[in-house]
Formats: sequence, C-alpha cells, structure tokens
Amino acid sequence: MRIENHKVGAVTVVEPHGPVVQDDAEVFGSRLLATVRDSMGRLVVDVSGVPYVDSAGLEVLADAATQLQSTGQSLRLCGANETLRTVFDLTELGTKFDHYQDVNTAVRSFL
Amino acid sequence: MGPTSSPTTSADPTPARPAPNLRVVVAAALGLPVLALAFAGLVLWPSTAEAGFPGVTIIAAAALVLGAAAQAVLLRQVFRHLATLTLIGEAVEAHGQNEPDLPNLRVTALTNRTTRAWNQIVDELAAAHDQALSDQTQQALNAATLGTAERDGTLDALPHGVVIVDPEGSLHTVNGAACRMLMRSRERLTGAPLNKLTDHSDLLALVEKVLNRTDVRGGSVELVLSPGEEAEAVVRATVRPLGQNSAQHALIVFEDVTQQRTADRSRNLFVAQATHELRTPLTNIGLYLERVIDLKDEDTADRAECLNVINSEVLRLGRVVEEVLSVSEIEAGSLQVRRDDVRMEELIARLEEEYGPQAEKQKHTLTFDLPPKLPVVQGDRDKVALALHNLLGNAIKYTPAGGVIRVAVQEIEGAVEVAVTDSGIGIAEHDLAKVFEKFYRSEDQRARAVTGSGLGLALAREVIRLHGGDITAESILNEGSTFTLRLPVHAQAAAA
Repeated sequence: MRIENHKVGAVTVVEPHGPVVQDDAEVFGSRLLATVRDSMGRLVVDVSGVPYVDSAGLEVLADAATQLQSTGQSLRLCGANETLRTVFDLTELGTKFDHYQDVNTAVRSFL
Repeated sequence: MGPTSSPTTSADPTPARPAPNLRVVVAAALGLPVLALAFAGLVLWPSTAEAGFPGVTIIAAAALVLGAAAQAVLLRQVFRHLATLTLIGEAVEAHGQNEPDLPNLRVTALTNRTTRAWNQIVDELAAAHDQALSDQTQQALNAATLGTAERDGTLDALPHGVVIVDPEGSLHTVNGAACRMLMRSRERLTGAPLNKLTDHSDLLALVEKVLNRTDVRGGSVELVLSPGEEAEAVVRATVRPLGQNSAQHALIVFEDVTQQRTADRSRNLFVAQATHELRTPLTNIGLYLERVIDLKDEDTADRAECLNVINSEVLRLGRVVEEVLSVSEIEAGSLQVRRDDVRMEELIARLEEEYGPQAEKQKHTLTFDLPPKLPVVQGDRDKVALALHNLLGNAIKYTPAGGVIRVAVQEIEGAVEVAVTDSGIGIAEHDLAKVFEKFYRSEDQRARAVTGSGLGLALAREVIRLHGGDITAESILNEGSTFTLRLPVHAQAAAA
C-alpha cells in the first residue's frame, strides 16, 4: 500500500491508497500515529483510496481515534466508500470518527 | 476499635451492683454492735472481774478483736472506693479539659467492677466516636473523588489545553490536550515546574505576574511550537488568575490557532494578489481609453488596435471576477454545473483567437494540433472555457519569450483530452502536487515574478472534476510542463 501525506493549509491530509489489511495496517498505524503527533491532531484521513479494511485496519483507526479523543479531538475521515461505511456501521465504530464528504469540507472543519 | 458491648455484660451489672454495698453494710452491721459489746464488756470489766466472771472478759476481748477486724474491712472498702472515684474523677476532669484521645480516659491503675464498667463506657464511647468520624471521612472522600473524576473527564474532553499552575510555579493539573501541545506525558508534566517546560519568556513572565498578583487580569501570548520536523504550530496561551484568596493559582488555556493563522495568511495573500490581478487590466483599459480619446478621427487603424486591447482586457477582467466568484461558490458548496452542449471546436477556435496575438507579442510559437472532427461535450461551457483559458494562459505566462507552446486535442475512449505543452520554466517535483492547491505559489523566483491569484489551477481542476474529468500535470524543471485536461464526452456531472 502507498501512503501519501500532504498539507492543506495547516492541516495534514493522510491518503492511504489500497486496502488497509494485515501487515499494511501495521505500517499505516505507525505512520498515522506519527502524523497525529507531528500535526498536533490537525489531520484528516482521506480514505477515498481505500477499497476495504479488515479487523487490523479497523483497530488502527480506532486506536488513532481513541488517542485523539483523549486530547479532546476526533479522527476526521473523508471520502469513505459504501463498503467502509457499512463496516463502520456494523462494528459500531462509525460513532468514533467524524465523517466528511471530501477533503475540503474536512479541512474547513478545523476553522 | 474498642470492645463492643454485648447484651450480657450490659444486663449483668444490675443484680451484681449491690454486692460491694452489702459487704460494707454487713461489715458495719456486724462491726458496730460487736464493738459496742466490747466496750460494754470493758466498762463492766472491774465488776465482772470481781464477781468472778472471767468469761465476760474473754468475750469482751474477742468482741474487741472482731469489731476491730470488721472496722478494718469497712475502712479498706471505703478507701478503695475513694481511690476509684478519684481516678474516675480525674478522667472526667481531663475530658472536661478537651483531652482529644478517648482511650486515655480509661482507668488502668485499679481493677475492680467500677473501673471495668467505667472502662467499658469509655471504650463504647470511643468506638461510637471513631465510627462517626470514619463515616464522615468516607462520605467526604467519596464526594471529593467523584468531583475529581468528573472534573478530569471534563477537562480531557476539551479540545483546548488546560494547565493549572500552583503558587510555587509547578503544574498542578494538566489535561489531555495540554499534554499534546506540550508534547509530554501527563505523568511527566504533573508537578513539574513550568519554567522547565517552556522557555517562552513572555508566557513565564505573565504567569509569574498572575501568581504574585501584580496582574489580576491575565492576558494572552502566542507561542510557536514545532511538534514535528517540518511541522509548526501556533498556539495561543491565555493566562488567567484562579483560586481563592489564600493561594493564588494561574490557569493557562492553550488554543491551537495554526489553521486560523494559515487561513488568515492565505486570505491576505489572496486579497493582495486578486487586487493586483484586477488592477492590471483596469490600468490597461484606462491607458488605451485615454489614447482612443486623444486620437484624431482619421486614425482608424490605431483606434481599432486600442479597442482590441480594451476588449481583451475586459475579457480578462471578467475571467478574474468569474474565478473569484467560482472559488467562493466551490467553497460554499453551491457551485452548479450546467449541462450545455459544448462544441470543442468553437472553444478551441476562440482560444486560438484570443491567445494568438498574445503569444505573438511574446514571440512564442503557438501551435494547435487538432483532429479533423471534435465531439460535442456535455458540460458547462463557461466553466470548461475557464479551465482551458487557465491552462493556456499559464503556459504563455510561465514560458520565457521565444518559447514553444503546443495544444494537442484528441478523443480517447469517450473523452476529450487537451494537452497543453510548453517549453517554460517547468515545475520542481516537490511543487508539482501543490500547484493545484488554492493560493499556492511556487517558491521559484521566476514563477513569483509572474502575477497570479494562485487560484487558477485549483479552480480549473475543481471544475473539471465536477464534470467527471481531471487535470494532471507532468513537468521537468527548466524544460517545460504538460498539463492534460481530460473531459468525458457524456459527463456524469458530480454536482448535478
């Protein structure tokens, strides 16, 4: 999987490309937590390039969300496809994240 | 705690209690008549002795001894009671003088029924007292613990960092967001002196002033933190006095204002650049108008040229205004894409017409590479034209005089592809992804020399994406760039 980071204003957008599963989830998780730290929580995860996730991927997202919640913030996801949304709903993890339609809206939510 | 009172011990003393009195009564009842008898015997001694009753003498002597013994028993009982009462009296007096420790009131010097009963009373009292005290403490503790948990939970749920500094200048309370901003764990922060955590002198001075009450209002300062290697964060710290009159604490609230600052900067930059973009065509229009006014009637060729310039500048001005409006519409999410039939041939022809003279002026070679027939695309004519204008306009702007610009149009797999290739300054690789960001201007000095709002490409791509197409960029620094616009013929307009 390919993970791209870019900045929109002061917000870091993390763009994973490809399914977040197994070993990839671990790599993505450590990248995500490093970004959470470096950006002081000012980040958006653009999951529009993620077709599906497995339990490891979900765990990574939930971990990041928990960490952000402990500092009064939330994990902002954008561009989740139908599959991801269904998975979030079924696992009841959906409430742990903030969902946005696209990157711009998510970034603007920091203003 | 003290011994608990059982029902048997508390019920028993009632019948047992008269016992010592009985002994005193018996000793007195027996002793007194016997003594009286002995005295009577002694008084009668001479007469009885003479009468030859030695038995009386013996009886009197025996009665004397018995009476004395009975009196001794009586006295001993009385003294013992007296001692007990003295001890108890002392204890009661000590209690009266606020002796705090109830068990100290126990009488241990003597052991008899009375002292045992007294000790039992003291023990029961001490136990009841302890129980009441521990209940009270537990209740207070419960209330306090509940309050702390709720307070900490509330503080941690806040997105702003909250730090309470105690009168000694050490951190008393730190919430989760403050840990994130100070980049240390809560364990390391709590109790640590503030001046070890930050070397920001303004903040330290402000906190000190609040703590020693020279500043009763507080204030705020802005700090620049760098949580990551390249990351930078602007944090506003607001200091306020906190607490009762006894011990002055300072409350610091940290707010992350990086995004607001960045937005402000972009906005200011945009206003400056947009103003410039608007002013340039206006100035040209003004100049050429003056010239037209001064022209004599017969200078028809000159007049035509001036009017042409004015016309193209008006078009340019219109496009700038359109751009700004479109951006704000996109920002507000209200951009509507109409579905006209867009004749690509017409569009390209208009493009050629408008940019031909401009390219000629800068000695560029502008070529159009068109297939014999171009499709009619479904989309918003003005928006597609805007995007094409942007690409070609950029190519001309960012190519030094005498360059080669080529516009190649072809139809591939149900889409029209317009590739604009220039031989300009090119874009460095790290800039390439960013050229589509709003307000982004390259660090390249040559690019900076050209004016622009930093909106054009962002807008062009946004608009084409709304049509279901895309714009991609390829470039080699110093050699030139190719921007490719791909537009589906039957657009599934995303915004429709």
